Amino acid sequence: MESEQRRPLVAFAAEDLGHGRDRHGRLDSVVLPRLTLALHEGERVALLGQSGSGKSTLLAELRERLGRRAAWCPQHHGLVPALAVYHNVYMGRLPEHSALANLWNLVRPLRQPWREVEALCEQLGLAGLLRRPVGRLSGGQRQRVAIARALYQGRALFLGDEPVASVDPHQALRLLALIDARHTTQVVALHQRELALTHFDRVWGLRDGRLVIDAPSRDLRLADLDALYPDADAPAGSPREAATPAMPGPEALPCARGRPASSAVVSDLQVGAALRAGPAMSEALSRHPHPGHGRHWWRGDSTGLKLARHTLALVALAVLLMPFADLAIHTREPWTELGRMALGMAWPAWGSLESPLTAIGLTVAVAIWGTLAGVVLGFPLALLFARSRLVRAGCAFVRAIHELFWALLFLQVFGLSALTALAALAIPYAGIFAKVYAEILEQAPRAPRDALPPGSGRLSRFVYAELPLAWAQLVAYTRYRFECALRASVLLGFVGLPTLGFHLETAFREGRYHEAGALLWLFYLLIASLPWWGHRRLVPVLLVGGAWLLGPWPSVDGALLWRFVSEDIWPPALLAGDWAGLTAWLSRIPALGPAIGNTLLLGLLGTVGALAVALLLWPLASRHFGNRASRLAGRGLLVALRSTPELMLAFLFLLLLGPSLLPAWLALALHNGALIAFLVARHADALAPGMPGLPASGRYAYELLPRLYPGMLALLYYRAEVILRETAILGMLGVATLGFYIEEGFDYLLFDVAFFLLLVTAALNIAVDALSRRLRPREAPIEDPCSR
Amino acid sequence: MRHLALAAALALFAQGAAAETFRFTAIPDEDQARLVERFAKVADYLEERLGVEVEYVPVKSYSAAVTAFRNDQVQLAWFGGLSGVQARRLVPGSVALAQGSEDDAFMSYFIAHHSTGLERADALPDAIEDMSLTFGSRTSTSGRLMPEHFFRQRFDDADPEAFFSRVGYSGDHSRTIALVEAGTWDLGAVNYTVWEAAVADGRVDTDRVEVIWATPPYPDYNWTLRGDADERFGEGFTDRVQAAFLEMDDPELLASFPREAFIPADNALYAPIEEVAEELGLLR
Repeated sequence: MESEQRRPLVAFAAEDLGHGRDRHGRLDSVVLPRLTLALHEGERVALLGQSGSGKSTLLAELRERLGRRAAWCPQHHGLVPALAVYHNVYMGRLPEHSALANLWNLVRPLRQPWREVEALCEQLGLAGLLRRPVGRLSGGQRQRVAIARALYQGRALFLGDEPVASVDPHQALRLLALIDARHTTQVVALHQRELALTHFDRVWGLRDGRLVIDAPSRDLRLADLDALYPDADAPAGSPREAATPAMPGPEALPCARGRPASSAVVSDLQVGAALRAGPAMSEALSRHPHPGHGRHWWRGDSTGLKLARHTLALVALAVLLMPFADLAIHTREPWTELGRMALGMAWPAWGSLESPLTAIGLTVAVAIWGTLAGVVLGFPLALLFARSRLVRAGCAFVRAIHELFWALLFLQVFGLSALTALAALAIPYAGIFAKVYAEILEQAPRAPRDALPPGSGRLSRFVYAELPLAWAQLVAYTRYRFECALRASVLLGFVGLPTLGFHLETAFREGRYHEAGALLWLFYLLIASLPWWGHRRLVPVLLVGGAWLLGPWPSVDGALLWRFVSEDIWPPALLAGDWAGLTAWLSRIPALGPAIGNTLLLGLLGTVGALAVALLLWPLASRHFGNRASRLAGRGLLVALRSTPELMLAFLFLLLLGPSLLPAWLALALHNGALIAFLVARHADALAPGMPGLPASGRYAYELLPRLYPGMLALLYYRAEVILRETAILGMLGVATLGFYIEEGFDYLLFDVAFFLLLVTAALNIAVDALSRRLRPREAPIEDPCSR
Repeated sequence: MRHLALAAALALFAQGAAAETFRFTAIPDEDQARLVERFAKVADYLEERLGVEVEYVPVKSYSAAVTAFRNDQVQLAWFGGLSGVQARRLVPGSVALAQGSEDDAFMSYFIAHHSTGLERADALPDAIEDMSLTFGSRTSTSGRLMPEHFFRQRFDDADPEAFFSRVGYSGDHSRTIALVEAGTWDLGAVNYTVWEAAVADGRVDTDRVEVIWATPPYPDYNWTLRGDADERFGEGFTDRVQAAFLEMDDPELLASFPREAFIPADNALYAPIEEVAEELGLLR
């Protein structure tokens, strides 16, 4: 035995260990300074020390140096909850199969591995659970799955970070025996001191980043080990202890983060705790600024204060700029017309509708196929999103142009065909999907990916340890987008595609309000009943039915397309190389300064207005307030406000208040505020009130709002981008926004002018988006990207 | 995969070549209730007269009608004065075939809310300065182009944006009437047939909104056909289309436009419109 132990597998000679490296290879934070240590073959080492003493850092370093020689069982398992026990265990040998075999294995388990995993699981007391998703197992069972995955790797070395922390002592012994039987050398981090002495050859003891014990276990007594654990109640000077309790609430986090980041290492423990606390918390963690930077002087402030300050600054800016906005009111005799509208809504003329079923069908068909095409285009882009600046810029560009303007562009080429509608939806949606999918994937817990054995292929890693973790959120977001697509599909009717909006706009424009009322009610019902008819199982039916309705694929005239992209959208002078002519062309472009000013002002006012509306309206639809009837009415109101096209809301206010920026502002604020309120109410319903007996006002102000507000503000910042895009389509009010002139360009068939202004709009949107991302307080993480 | 795509493309091409359908559209500026149904009857009539398959393509805006015509998605269109000019410029060889009997002397009305205190007069009164005005659609001949032209004539080529306190584009004649009736705008410029129809139907309260001035007559709406129609649909097709309109005597069909009858027209008739549009920078 002694001769074997002479050969060190790994040795550290006064080395610094820690996290993160800068460009010069220096550690960002040193956890274990000047460590001297050697691991010999055949040794069974117990690694002891308090949380935060550096155990995980040491194990991570050992893992890196041992590479493929060591099997690895991470702290808090790093399992994929959505996948079956079999697949989680199988991941131990992911690099040993081809990517294709790994893919197929997800569909249908490979025979050989299945038998091996089955045998292994039987030994671990997991028999009969192979097909069960890990998410439905108990804590102890998960522990055993994690060990099974490590054993399945079949290495001579075993590295485990508290692999027996969540099982009873009897189980722990059995598991350690199993590990013993299959590995010659092991390093296991533990909390059970007795086990360390009875079961291991050697003990390494860490305290505050120093190796204080490195001795054979037979030479040690329990009392020697107590030195590693100073009084557990003492503050211990480690801020990380704040996160030690098994289940810190998500609220606990900002406080922990708010402390001076002296040793602000996001420990595995925190990540683990976050995993247990649920996705919201792990997302919050992933947004944790890089450790070791203390550059934000305001970090010490409380989250609530910061957000309040932020909001007030936004409101103050809006108030300050308000004098520049044209908010005149000219009310004279709007009541007759408004009365006609009200009558139209109250007594909808169902009978006078022209083929309403086809219109509904087409609306749904365009929405569902447009969304699908957006997903198909956007998903691959999402994978490149973080890596390619080009992809990010391209996505920002296509997102920045309103669906309606895309439709107007495609209309010039594809005419009034399904292709125009689908492209007008799919292209901006691809940009949105790319961005949001990339965010969701980025925010998925990394532990399972880190737990994979080295050498796992990129594709295998993605389908096993990344996609399943993000899947639920990806699906939820796609569903939410589909509702947006339905609204957009209606809006496309306004430019002539025969969806519900086609008839709605005509009837409304010509004052046939009974007919418009019927169409609006139809649309409200369509949106309100979405959870039923949009059920997962009905999606294939909708797709097939939609394809049939969209009809035969229209023939595309390549010459038209070419003429459009090569001639129509460029100034003739530019194509002719006539620079003087180009200057003349530029001088005829409408004054951009006021147009941009109006657009930005309306965007800002709309955003602040939407916040006010959302704050007022969300309780109406939340289960924490009112009774069944009031909630039903509240939900109905929110459906109506968010589904009524902004153009129609704007027209209503135009009648009421006269032509100015005001109707546009109100329309934007109500529409977007109702949308945010709906999402916030949904979020609120997921919260459990913890303070019974509060009056409604107390529940609102003291209990729910503080928990909801960060998410609400994040939503608002995202929505600001949308609001800015929407200002463009309210040009009909005579408010000279950029959109007003773009529409003019299309009307006069001056596509070069329209295209130029679209480029300006896109650039403006991108700039505002970048600014809002920079200004957005970090305390307002997008907790649930699915709700945007 | 490539073969499949090729086959699909060929199939589409073959389909397009085998059954050439004659398509037409109409600018959306009249009562559009049951539009498809009414125009389907016009399509049936033309099908009977021309012996080819005829289809009506509904559009939502003046520019969409012009674009469809330019892109050969429709071969025939019922245009306004300006949209017709735009279309014929974009598709060289296309010809104006017919117009309504009312269209050689079309008019626009300036209407005003009663609170302005304006009365019907023989000329636009000076008092309209600094009031607010809404046109209809930006490219409407009767709702924008000619009213602006006559306004400029009267006020020494003043820019409406500077002359009026506020200028809007309601997008539609019916909407112009509704908005001026509600007092949202002081003044409006509107197509006279739409106004007369609204008054006749009782859809407008003439105590609140009244005509203050009628413009001099000008040529407006017309049927325009692409120049390659004879080539594609047979010798003499253009003449047959023209004859079909001139001989249309079913009141129900004529009511779709709404016109008493159709009379011959030609491109030269619309030269004044073209001139005015160029002056106002709507054409280049």
